Amino acid sequence: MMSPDARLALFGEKRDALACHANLIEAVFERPAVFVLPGIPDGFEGICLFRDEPVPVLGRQQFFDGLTLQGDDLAICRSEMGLVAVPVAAGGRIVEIAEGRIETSREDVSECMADCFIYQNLRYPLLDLDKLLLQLQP
Amino acid sequence: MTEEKPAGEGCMAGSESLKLVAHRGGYDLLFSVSELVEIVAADTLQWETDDNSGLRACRFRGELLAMPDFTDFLGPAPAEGAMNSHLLVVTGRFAPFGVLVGDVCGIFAAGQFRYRDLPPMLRVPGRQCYIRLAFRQDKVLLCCDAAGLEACGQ
Repeated sequence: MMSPDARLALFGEKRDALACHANLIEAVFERPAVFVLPGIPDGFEGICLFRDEPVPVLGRQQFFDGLTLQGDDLAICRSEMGLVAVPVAAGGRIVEIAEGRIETSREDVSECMADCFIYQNLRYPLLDLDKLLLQLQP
Repeated sequence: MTEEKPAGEGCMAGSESLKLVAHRGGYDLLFSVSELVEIVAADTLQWETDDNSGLRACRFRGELLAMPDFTDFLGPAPAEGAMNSHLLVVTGRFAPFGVLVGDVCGIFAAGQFRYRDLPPMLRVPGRQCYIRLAFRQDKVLLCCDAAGLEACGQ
């Protein structure tokens, strides 16, 4: 039996494709309310409420070449800095890493986007949330 | 030298546990009534340009009231003389100052809100005049305290 670390959550298919380690996802919400806040760091859209606590929501935007977050759903993910809500396309699924392969980007576009998960001939950028959040800190 | 007022002096009496909710720039704002000197209908204000600072100011009880620009912190203020807008006169450390808001939704008991700190990930010193959020009936409100506003308005 494979460990939970060996599974990825896949969202979207083309421009909105995104892969995230499944063991980092606490929950996925369909179209939750997002409250926009003034003066927050670039790259964040606002907050959503999860278990009665405010959780930062990443912006629906292009962060780097190859990493665009979009979608109306939010995946609540754990990071070293706490919970973060990541915009994702609807209809995510969980797959074993062994069902595809992880490919390291040779373009080295950014540290956050070093890897892609190739699954059924589609490329899913593999999100490294901790590295992304470090780059968003003012 | 200006003498610092004791806490509570010049504020609305018996208001320590009351909160005022107002709209501005698409945000819901929460003020402690104990930190407010007065609420004035903005369309009655007399606007002038302060000779010293060159900034727009309004005359309040015969004196020019400082009107810091909170656009970057709270969104755009209602236009001068806009209908249904209000001036909140807030107690400052040394002198009161004004904050323009749109609709005033009402005054509520502080206990009707749940309070949470702004997540540390979202804090940017000097760019925010709130560090707490309040929640009520599926709304999120920015807790605007006088000290935070005053620091941003300087």
